[in-house]
Amino acid sequence: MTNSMLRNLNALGLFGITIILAMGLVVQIVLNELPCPLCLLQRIGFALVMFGFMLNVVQGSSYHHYGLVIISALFGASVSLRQVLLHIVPGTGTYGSPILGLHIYTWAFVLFVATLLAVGIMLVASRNQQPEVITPMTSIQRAICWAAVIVLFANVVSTFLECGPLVCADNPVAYKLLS
Amino acid sequence: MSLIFLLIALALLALMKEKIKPAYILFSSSFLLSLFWFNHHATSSLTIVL
Repeated sequence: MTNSMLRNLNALGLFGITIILAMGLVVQIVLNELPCPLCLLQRIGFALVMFGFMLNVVQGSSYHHYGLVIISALFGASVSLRQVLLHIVPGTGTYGSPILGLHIYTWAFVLFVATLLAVGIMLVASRNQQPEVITPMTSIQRAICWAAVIVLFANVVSTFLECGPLVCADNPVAYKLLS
Repeated sequence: MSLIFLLIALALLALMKEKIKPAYILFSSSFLLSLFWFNHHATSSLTIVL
């Protein structure tokens, strides 16, 4: 697989994570379901994964960048698995509405594992690559990167409205700064 | 928690401006803060037997 193909795959990964975070915001607004602290930490896990993918898009793919994606995905998977375990025993309740049969934290765990799998495949495909000469990003790659930045700033605003500058409530029912 | 999002958003913004070192500093700070908050929020015991 060529370096430019790998760069495009990383852009695709970044786009996918951007869509996931945007969908999280849509669910939050449309269903009026405020994310709990662990839910927010899972979003942060996705945001950290974005950083590694974006490094590969901006600087060209390298093992170092993939390492950051793996560490970030492991963090996100740990948080989501923690929340799955909180509710795994029947009768211990759930948080939020299920989507396609699974709760959002379960989907998050599946997506973090899928990210790890995708990065593993990209690492295998990128073996014996020659050092890359960094070329400017294409307009599509640049647009994806800007979309990622915008979605993250939207998360800054929504989280600030929900939690304020301090600790988030364990079971939030209203935006702290709007009530 | 909004501070962590802000730090990562700024890290991505720094990457877009190709300021790599500040981006890494922002990323590292946000990662450490995330670990702190995870430790803070994951305190209740799980109702499972391992």
